[in-house]
Amino acid sequence: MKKKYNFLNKISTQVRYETIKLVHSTNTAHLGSSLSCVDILVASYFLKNGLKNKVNNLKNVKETFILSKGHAAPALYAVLQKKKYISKRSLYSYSKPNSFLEEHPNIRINGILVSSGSLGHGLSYAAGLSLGDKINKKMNKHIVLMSDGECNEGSVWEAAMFITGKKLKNILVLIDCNKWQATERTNQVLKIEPMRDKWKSFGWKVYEINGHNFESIDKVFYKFNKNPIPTAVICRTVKGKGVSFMEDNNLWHYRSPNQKEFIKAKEELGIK
Amino acid sequence: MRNAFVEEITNIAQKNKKIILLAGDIGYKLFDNFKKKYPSRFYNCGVAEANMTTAAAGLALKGFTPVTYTIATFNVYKTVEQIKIDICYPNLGVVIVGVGTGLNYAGLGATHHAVEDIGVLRSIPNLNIVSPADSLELRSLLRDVIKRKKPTYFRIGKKGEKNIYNTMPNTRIGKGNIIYDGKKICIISTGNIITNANQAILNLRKKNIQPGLISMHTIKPLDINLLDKVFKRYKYIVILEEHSSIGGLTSAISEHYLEKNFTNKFLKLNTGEKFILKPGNQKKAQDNLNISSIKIEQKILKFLNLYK
Repeated sequence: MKKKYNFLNKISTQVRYETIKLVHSTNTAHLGSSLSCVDILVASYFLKNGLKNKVNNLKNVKETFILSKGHAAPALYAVLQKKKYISKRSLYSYSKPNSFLEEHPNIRINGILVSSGSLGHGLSYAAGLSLGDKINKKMNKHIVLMSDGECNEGSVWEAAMFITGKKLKNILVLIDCNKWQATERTNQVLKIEPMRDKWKSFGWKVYEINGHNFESIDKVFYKFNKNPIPTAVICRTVKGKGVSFMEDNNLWHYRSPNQKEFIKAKEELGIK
Repeated sequence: MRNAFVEEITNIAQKNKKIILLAGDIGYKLFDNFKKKYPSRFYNCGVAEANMTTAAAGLALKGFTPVTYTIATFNVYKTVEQIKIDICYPNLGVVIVGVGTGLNYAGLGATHHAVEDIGVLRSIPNLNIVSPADSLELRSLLRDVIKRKKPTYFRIGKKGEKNIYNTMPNTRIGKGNIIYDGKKICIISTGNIITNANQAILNLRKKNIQPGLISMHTIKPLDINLLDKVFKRYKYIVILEEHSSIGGLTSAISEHYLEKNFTNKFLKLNTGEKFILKPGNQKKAQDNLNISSIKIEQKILKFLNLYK
């Protein structure tokens, strides 16, 4: 990976650390699913070809980002804090009483456009937003981050057909394919692969990349900006990415690290 | 009623450029005029109601007033979660139109009977539930619904229903309409079944019984001020609806009544709580369920006899 992406590695490490800290300190779930999409989130928010500086403005909805896999909220919150949408104090109120930072995102948090947590809604939301742009003769980018398990939901495919059927533009779907869903291997629960062929047959432009490689993600963003047709990016990722004993281990879908595990994870990330 | 709906929404859309009509592959040729007038504001979303509902929410975020339209069973039962999370939770002004409610599609079988829709939706916060009595009340209510920009389930009939109003009433959401003042007994009803109540009342008058009649077109929020007046004024109350005995108008009124110290006597006329099998047509099904005009009349006579 080129040197120019080094700064993103640094941000990713910090976001990973904050995410683990949030989950550890509140004894909450979905750490593995959060860690697998940290790099995708960081790329979306920090790359020049990604999102602009002000997205999800509820008062004047233009460019949008939807975390359709809402259970990765801790990672998103950490990114939103880094981008100054929310304060550090607000970030550390995560999952505490009287905090809007629940374990799934909701619209009362600055920088969040739609409440998510039930899978299979985000892409339809983007469809409506893009349809609105079409009627207004405007072009705004809409990025949706989904999970591979989420593609179990029929509504995902309703939206996929609708978007290409109505010739909508400017929808980029990033699919965090970490090969696990809540209780089993994704492709063993339902026949979800070959993912690339599925999206292709629904009329989408498809890329398949390493979801932890900023250069690959950047290239896709660049191509999408040049030709903003409905684009699905199969991001091959590792669940629990960044901490050796969490990587590709589905225990960490629900488990939160104890003190010893937290210290070990911190050491591995090189955080002092 | 559906023709009145399409005519009225087409009229409203002339001035209100924010209205977008989304249909779930239903209404063959029904929207031709709308499409001709506003080609960029009608979309057939296919037989994919969940997506249609959330896409409507996306349009609402963009400042549009989306109206989703398909058969009530599909637009409610397939989309409950989308209605709750994507429309009601953020309190977006989407109008969900269910056509052919109650037993309008009786002959098509239980898959098409929309007699649980109010019950299914009533507990969702922020959602208004509106069920006009006839085409004239529908036109008046639709104007108010569009103006308010709140999540609304708009529950309408099919075609050929009789009107009970002579001219368009000035109707507002949450304010029930008094169709007739009466003596001793009052029928509270909702939706186009009210025409059956109307016929029953005309017959009962010949027997010197003069029931009042209320169109409780808004089930949520319920017009509790009007209800309290009715409870005070009439001893005998009939609640009539083309809906299950669970969760609908009867339930809504009961919940309110529980908190009061009234001593009214009630007669409940509805579609019961079982699947409706071998229905024949709507008229036959209504008769079997004691909600045809003749059965309403008979039931009221029996009800009043009970307390003589």
